[in-house]
Amino acid sequence: MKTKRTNPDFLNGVPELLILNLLARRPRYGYELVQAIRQSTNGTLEFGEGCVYPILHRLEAEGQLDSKRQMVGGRSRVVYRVTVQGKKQLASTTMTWRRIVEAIGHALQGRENGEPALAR
Amino acid sequence: MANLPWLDKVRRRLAQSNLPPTYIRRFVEELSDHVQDLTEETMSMEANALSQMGNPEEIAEAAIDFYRRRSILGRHPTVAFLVFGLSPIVTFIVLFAVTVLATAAMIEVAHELGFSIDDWWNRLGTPGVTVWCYAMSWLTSVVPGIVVSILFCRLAKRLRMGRRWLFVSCVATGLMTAAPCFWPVLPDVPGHCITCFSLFVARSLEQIARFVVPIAIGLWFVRRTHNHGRLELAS
Repeated sequence: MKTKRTNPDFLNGVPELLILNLLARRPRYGYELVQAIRQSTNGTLEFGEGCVYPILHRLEAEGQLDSKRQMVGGRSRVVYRVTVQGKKQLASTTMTWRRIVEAIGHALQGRENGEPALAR
Repeated sequence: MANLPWLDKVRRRLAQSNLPPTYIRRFVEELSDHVQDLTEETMSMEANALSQMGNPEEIAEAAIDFYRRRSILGRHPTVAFLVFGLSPIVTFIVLFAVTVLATAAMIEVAHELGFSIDDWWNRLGTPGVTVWCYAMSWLTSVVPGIVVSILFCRLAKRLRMGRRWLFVSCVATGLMTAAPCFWPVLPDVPGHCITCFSLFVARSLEQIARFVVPIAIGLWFVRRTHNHGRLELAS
């Protein structure tokens, strides 16, 4: 019998999910992407902005992103865009994320077998 | 902007970890652009921009971690252990056997050429024979040990593995280099010699010296890499 994992890594991959989602809307360079994360999450996520680059490079190495150096605003920048593989990954991760959020939501509302818990 | 001490810290740490110079250059350039954007667009002081960027060491560690996880060896420590912990042992045994056979062949050739070794056993305990035994012991164990440790240090460097794996391979090689005990035992049949493998027990200073040789090679590699990183930063 397959043993279930006791520690599902539902929190792993959140930065990747955000990055893929924002880059799927339009290509961006690093600084632009960090600002977009900040705006789209209402500044809820606190992180060192430099930490975004290792993630971008890994996603690029995995073929989920593509990068090109091009002139933006009079300066040469590395602009990232999502590849077809990245879009597939985004769709799959988004679906998983929604399922987990829904399940956690149910649990936090105290529901068991679909019934709201009685306040005592 | 590219000469900020903050960026230098990141660059130095990446260089020390053997990441390719092209990757380091690109990573630092992107960080440098980001800092410039932060200072320009938010009109903030450089110090504020750098505090927003995060701790340089943490960023460098994240980059090193992500870079290593690209390869199967980086993702699976068990595979890395097979490559850097067990392969040096197997390689050493093969090279040791080859060296022993080559030495035996050399003795045979010397005999064919007229260098008599018939009375060798009658001279056991004489300084000449003792030196000869030590020379054979070093030739057959230390030479393969040196070759294997250099081979695996270079492999670790090439695959951008951390120092940990480099030392694992050096310790494994050191144990094997110290293990063979090669001493002549009076045989029933003249011309024979018994070679013993023992577990690494500090039986003699000579064995400890053999163990230290691969470790010293590992330290030399680490030091060389460290200096190389510094040179790269200076240039």
